[in-house]
Amino acid sequence: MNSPARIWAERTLLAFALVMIVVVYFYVTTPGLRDLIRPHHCLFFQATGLLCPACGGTRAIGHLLNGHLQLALKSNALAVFSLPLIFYGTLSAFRLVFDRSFNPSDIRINPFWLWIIPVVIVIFWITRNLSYFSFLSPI
Amino acid sequence: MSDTKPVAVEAQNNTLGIISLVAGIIGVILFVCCSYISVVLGIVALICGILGYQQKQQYALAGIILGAISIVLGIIFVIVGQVIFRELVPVLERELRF
Repeated sequence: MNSPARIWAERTLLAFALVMIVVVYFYVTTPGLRDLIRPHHCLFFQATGLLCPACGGTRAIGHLLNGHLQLALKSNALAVFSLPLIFYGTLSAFRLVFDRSFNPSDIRINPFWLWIIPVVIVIFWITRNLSYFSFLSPI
Repeated sequence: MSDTKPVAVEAQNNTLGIISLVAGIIGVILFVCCSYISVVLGIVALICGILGYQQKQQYALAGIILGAISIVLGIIFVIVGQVIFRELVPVLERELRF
């Protein structure tokens, strides 16, 4: 399938990948830019003092890469459990660009499981700010 | 007597449209706190939306619109938000200290 929409999607993905590579290169090599953009700063947390669903996500991935699953779950359980989904999405993006036989419109997922995702995010967002569920907030 | 047989109608596949809509909604919700994730989700919504719109899938147009909003808001909050908070937060902390 080589429809105009697919070609457009492929070009968008490649452009995004290129932009990401350039940003990461300059972020790593330019100390001034590193000081200007601080990804560890959560604007929502700074403004309200409440945790957002991604707070502790970077720490969670760091702990996971070091093999500390318990600490990773403590930092951000949602980030750990969403990794298979992120992996599947990345794999689909790669297949869209490089696999000619892959037709994205053949993907069939029960809509229930798709609508569950925002519901889980909102529930996680609310519960991790409640004192009763303090085990969901990062250390 | 008419000889009519029931024809099995296959339900329309709206997966790409719904993925696009869900990614767009999450992107728009999260732009305040996780602008970087919002931009990525916006791109996911835009790509799935356009691929779904070509197949005339439901919700694809809504996904495209939400994806575009999510990208724009995400980029604004990545660039402007960080700079504003860098400048504003120390000033506010200094001013509000009694």
